[in-house]
Amino acid sequence: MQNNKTKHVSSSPVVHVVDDDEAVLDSVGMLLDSIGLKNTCYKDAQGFLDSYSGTEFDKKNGCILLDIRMPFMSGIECQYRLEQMGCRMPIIFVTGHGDVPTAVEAMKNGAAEFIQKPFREQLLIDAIQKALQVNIEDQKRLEKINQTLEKLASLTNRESQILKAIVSGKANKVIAIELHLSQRTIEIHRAHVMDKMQVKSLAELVKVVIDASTIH
Amino acid sequence: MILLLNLLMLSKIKAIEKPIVYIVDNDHKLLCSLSKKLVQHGVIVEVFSSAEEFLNTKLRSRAACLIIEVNLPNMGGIELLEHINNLGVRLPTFILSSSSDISKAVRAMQAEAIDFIEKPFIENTLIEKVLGVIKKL
Repeated sequence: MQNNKTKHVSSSPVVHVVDDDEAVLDSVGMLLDSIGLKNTCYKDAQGFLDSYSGTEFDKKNGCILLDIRMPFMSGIECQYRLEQMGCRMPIIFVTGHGDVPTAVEAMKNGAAEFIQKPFREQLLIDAIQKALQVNIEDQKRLEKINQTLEKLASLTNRESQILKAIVSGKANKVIAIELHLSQRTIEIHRAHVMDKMQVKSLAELVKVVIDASTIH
Repeated sequence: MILLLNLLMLSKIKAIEKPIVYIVDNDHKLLCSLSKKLVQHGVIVEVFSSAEEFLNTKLRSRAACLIIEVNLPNMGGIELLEHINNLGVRLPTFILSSSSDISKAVRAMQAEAIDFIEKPFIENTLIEKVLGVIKKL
């Protein structure tokens, strides 16, 4: 448990709580404090979006608790705006006025969870922990993809042409004929590709390239 | 003769390409009317009255879509979807529900259902959605 806690502090994710009801902000804030999770509270969605677009805001590490029904901007609208801004933090909706169509819409738009008020505290904590875990994994995946993209960018035109052919399953011999090159040249290029992509096998090469092409 | 053969082959290929919609629901009235309308749109429909019955069937490997009712006898509709996901089978799935239960809707969507539709619903809307999904397969 202790170990777990220090891990959280070192990466220090922040839970952003957006709710127009100050009593809810207070109680959720206290609940999060009690389990040692950093949190910030916002009284309305616009306030949150404003500070999100600020420069010193950590846009990656954390998750967002959103109320649905708020004056001025609804939680669903806020979710949409965040998506437009490229936000990848998981969103947990917490609402007292939920109905099935709203819940379905929110989930379709990528919400992690949809919790009805009043809720058991443990339920919320579990949802937050899960969302933070998902967030960490998402960041790791994204970082890996970025590394692959960098490596892909370092290939020469000829090398990326050959990479494409390899990944689509063509044999060296076939590639050589198609590109009017000797098989030996293809072999050399292929070795360079494997080197630059830092992979040891064809299977690994195909895997990193496919992973990088599926940014979700 | 060759032409006839060609035609035969063509029709065979067409039959193979026909998409399937599997419906799992114990409401026979709904099964009847829904499958009648879907068949008119040129899809093959297979109906099941329980999750167990569906799981005991060998799925044909071709474009397919799944419609499941939440409240089934024994294994529930969402458990069925989660079970199918765990088996590594990915079928685009619509969940139907006769009770409006938010937590079930959320669970269905977390299990990657395409949509969660409350009964009663307008059949044509559902059919349009199903056809839209099949077209993209």
